[in-house]
Amino acid sequence: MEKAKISAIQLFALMFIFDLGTALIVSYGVTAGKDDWLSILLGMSGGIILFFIYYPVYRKYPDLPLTSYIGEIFGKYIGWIFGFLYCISFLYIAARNVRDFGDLLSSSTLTETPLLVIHTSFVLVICYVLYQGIEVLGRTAEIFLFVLILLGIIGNFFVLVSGDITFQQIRPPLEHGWGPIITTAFPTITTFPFGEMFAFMMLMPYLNKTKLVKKTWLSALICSGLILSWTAFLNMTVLGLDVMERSTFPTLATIGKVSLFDFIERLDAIVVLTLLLTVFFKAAIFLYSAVIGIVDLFKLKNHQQIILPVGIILIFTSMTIASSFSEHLEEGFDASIKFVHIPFFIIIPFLMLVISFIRNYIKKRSNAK
Amino acid sequence: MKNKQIILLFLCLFIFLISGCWDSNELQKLCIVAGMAIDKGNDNTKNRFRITVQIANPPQVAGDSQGGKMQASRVTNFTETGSTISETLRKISNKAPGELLFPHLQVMVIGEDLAKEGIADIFDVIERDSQFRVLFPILISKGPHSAKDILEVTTTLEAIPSAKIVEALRTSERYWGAYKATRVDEVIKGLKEGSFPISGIQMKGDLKAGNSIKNVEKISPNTIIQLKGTAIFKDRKLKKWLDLNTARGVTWVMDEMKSTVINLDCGMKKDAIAANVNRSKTTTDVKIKNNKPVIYLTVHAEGEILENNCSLDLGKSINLDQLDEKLEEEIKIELLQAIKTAQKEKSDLFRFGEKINTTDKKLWKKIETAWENDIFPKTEIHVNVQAIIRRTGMITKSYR
Amino acid sequence: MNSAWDRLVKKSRRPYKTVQHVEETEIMSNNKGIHSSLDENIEQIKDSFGNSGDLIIRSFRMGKPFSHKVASIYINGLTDKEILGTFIIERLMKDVNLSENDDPFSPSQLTTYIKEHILSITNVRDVPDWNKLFLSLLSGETIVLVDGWNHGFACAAQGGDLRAISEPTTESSVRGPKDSFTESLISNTAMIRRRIKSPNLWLETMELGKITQTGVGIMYMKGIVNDKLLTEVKERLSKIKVDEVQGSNTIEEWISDNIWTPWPTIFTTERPDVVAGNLLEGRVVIFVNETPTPLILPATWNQFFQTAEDYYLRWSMSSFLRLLRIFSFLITLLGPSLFIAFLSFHPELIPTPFLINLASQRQSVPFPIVIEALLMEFTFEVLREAGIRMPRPVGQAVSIVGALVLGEAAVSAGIVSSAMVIVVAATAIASFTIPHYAMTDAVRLLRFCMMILSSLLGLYGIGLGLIILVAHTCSIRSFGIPYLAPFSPFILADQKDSILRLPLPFLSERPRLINQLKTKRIEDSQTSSPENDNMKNQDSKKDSYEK
Repeated sequence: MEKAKISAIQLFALMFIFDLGTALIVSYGVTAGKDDWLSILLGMSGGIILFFIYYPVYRKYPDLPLTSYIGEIFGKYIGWIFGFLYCISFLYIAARNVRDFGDLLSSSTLTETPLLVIHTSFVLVICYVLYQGIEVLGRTAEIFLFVLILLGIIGNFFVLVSGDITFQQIRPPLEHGWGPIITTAFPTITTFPFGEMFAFMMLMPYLNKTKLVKKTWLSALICSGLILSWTAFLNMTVLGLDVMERSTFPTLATIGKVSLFDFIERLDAIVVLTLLLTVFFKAAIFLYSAVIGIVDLFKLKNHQQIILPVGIILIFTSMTIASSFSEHLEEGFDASIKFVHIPFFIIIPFLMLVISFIRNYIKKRSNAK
Repeated sequence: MKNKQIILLFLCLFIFLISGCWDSNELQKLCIVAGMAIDKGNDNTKNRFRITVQIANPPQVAGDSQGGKMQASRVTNFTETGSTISETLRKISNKAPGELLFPHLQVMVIGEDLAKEGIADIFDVIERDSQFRVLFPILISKGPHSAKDILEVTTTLEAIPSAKIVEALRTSERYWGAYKATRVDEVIKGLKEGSFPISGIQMKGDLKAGNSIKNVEKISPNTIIQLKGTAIFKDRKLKKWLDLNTARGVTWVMDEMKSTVINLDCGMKKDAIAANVNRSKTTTDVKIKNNKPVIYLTVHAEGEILENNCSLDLGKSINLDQLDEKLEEEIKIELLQAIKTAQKEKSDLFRFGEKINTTDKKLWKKIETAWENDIFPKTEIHVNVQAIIRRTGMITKSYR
Repeated sequence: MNSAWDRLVKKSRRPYKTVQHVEETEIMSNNKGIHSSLDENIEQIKDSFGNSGDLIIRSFRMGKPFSHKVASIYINGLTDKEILGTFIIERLMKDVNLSENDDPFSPSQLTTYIKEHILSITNVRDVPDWNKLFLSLLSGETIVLVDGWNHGFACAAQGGDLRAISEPTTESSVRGPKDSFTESLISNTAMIRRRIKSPNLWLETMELGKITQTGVGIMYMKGIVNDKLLTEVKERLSKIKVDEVQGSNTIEEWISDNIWTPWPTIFTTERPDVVAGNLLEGRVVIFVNETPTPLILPATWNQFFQTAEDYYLRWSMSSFLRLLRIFSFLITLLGPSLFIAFLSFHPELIPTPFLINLASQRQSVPFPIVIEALLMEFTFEVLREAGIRMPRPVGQAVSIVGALVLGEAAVSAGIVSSAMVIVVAATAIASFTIPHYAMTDAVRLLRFCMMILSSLLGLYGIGLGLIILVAHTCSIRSFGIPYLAPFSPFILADQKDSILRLPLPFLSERPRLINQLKTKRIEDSQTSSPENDNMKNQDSKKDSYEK
């Protein structure tokens, strides 16, 4: 554990950017058809429910990271194993994020640059920032929050003004009923991106005011959920279901359609920059969670000594995670949801909640006796 | 502690430096592709496509004095044949001096022959390759000349022929309303859904004279290119050419009319009054009657008088009201013509299907398969036009 | 709140290295008392100064019946000879009539008499030992030694030639005051005193530099300044153990939190009004003798984009100007690198007619864009440096050669493209809008880093570079204050006077982090539009007259 504190605004910035990371750009939730924006809103409410699973556990141990108290809940050895598995899963998701970004970059702008170079440079910059500690990460997020808001305003403005929006594309609503919307929202969208916020359970002890957790978490969740839903809505009205289904990066395709006065066009840079910033923070938070988890589990002195080794593991994981982008996406919407997101962000937290309640109950009974 | 940081930074820098710069290109060595023409090749397997790319010659286009010692053409065309688009484009690299740069593609012309056989195979590469943008318009070359010929005509007033075509298309879309620019993304959408229109382009004059800089030295060039006709596509193939008022009717129905001029009769004198329609809105309503869709089109148009060659006193509102009715009648005829042709060709150019889907998705699911061929041609379509002439210009009565 | 501050300061504190300094010179170590014999003393002084030509020893006798041997010693050029003549030597030699009092004076009585009755000079001190004597002698005071007494007097008759107060050269203003600091510490602090007439304005002086003994003054507003900051400043100053302190930059480099950064972490100015404003915000100012630019600390990044003029113009205009400066900062930092990135990595992002234009310009340029850009930027830096170093009349020639020969000829010869010249020129002009030289210099260097990054990875490289830069900037502190405050950590109240400047009545609080004792600076009763009601009344009166 570092001796550092972050403020509620910084935590909000981190969470907000974290939620937007990759989700803003990659295609997800399109299985809900024309109503994917609705299923994102539903997924967001799922995220809120998840928060109320996490929150009581956190309230019991407000000063400890997840890996410390998981041992107290599940017992020393099982807890340690779970904690270690969490570190690995955080690292895995970080690697997925880096890969998402690398693939976007090499399929859109840097077509000839090797993936390894993109990944290496990206992860090394993450390592540099994490080396400076969580405080610096938080403050950097604060600055880039403004940059992102600015980019968002510019991007939205141009898309709205360009006149590419056809509301016909999202009509009729509920074309195939609520079925596909709900199956998309639960569990896919609930876990990605909203369930991934579980990684913040590792960072919570750094917040300077414990009371503000609930407010910050929920407001970040709702803000990002609304923005994601709005973006999906905009993408659908501009692109139409057909293109949405086929394109790997719908937001990039949307901004590509902007053409004003023959001069304001080709605004891809806005989207790529947004992706760079959001994925940067997302991967950084996952990496940091993994690193401080390892520091905590192996009782190391500080996180700085292992940040570079873990970063290098991250680079190689992200390279070897899939042989092609299609495989990577397939894994993301199938295996990763089934074997990482659902067990680690829904089942185990739920078990933790139940067990800690039972333990409390037993304690009370024995105290009463 | 400080040293470690610096080592980390140096490591970063080192990685960057060994990385080199793969994607870096020198601007002057790139060939900026301004236009592309795709024709049918000479056989169906090896040489399915014949592709011509038009590459801009920057110093000539920019009118830079340094490079302009030798009077060279502003663009250069290279042609190659092949069985897929990307293969053919790569083959062109053997002729072109540098890497082809496609993002600045202005227009793509497709030969009529190819269009008649089907254009389904052209657009995958455009959607897939990040180099292409999907915002440039597609045109079909009409008449005996191939698409390649269209790009070979030198033009004045706009340095690059492709740019000239695009400008003409834009202007026509804006002030004439008959030929609209169909962007690639719209074509792809149409290919997926069924029928759609694409504007045509035609060459007038001698081909050899057109392909020379001498052509532009004349005040009235021998050879020109012009927009002509709207091609109706069904099942990814060119079905029929529409022309003039019928083509304009398509624009009316699809609610894409920006402004146009319509001639009105004045008493016995035919086409004596010119009215400018500068605001128009077409709404499509679908009503279900006896499980059959009935389509109601309502056009609201506003305009002004541009020219009056008869003695009608336009200062009197009664006269204007009469003109309103005439205008309505003219517009209605155009719409009905377009609709009739579409129904005859069994192609739902106007995407009425989508409207039915939003109105009654259950009915749509039932009729979706049979819609275009069986139901659409028999569907009742009602047209109602409301036109108002708001102004008469700077004078009311003509000097007559 | 205090503990938080403690934490901040502790985090930023770094161990100070001490350097080996040369053995203390002999004069300084000679800590023996002053002799009572005047001749011996004079010999000693002459010896110590190696018979320096500017050491003037005027010995004479005073008093009528008893001829006491007296010597006045001063260094030529550091004293005001007029004062010395009229109020010291003349008084001692002429006006003393000791015979009125029949008692023979013992030397010690005589000195008391001299001090209390004769020397009509403003400030007279006893100097008991050689160290003090030399120090006061070297700082321009006149030493009076009396035979038979083992003390001396130091009489304040400093003078000599000093630069007069002139207009500020780098921070000029249109509506504001036109004075700027000079080299003299005392006249500088006096300028502040004139502006802040409060006994709470405290000045602590000390001498730094083993050999140079440079006078250093720490000025602050008692009651507003944060005491922990003050102790921290004093502690850091006390750790400077060097032979020479040449100007304020020596101190700046010794006491700043982080020297491995491109950013300036201590603010300097040559304007008294800026210093006064900062003092009232709770900052500490360090004056260094012989330097016209005092140090202001702690500094924040934001400060370097504000000028004194901002407070003399209307708030709307100054807000606009501040935005403009930030914008031109971005142009300076990113202009050339964006140009490289777009041209060599992302030609698809440039509008077509513009791209064709650029391509035609580059048709005959033999270099890759990166090399061309670096070459032009380098040439510009060379011209800039040459312009500063050249004697002024020749400087003009340099700019003509630079503009005409290099710019015009290089373009027409096709060695560089005119677009590149435009970019470099725009960057240069944008860099001049940054009001503080230290910040301009920082950006000049960072620009080259950005250019290299963009030449390797295009826009992606620039993005990575910006992340590193922002993270680094977030990590540094100036005397415990986060450098990027009030943006990160975000402080809403301070936004009123950061990128924008709201009207002064709205600026009711001092910057949060710098000052923690007294944040309010406007009385609560004050409304945001003072005397508004009175004005209205006047209007209504006027109306009634007219009726």
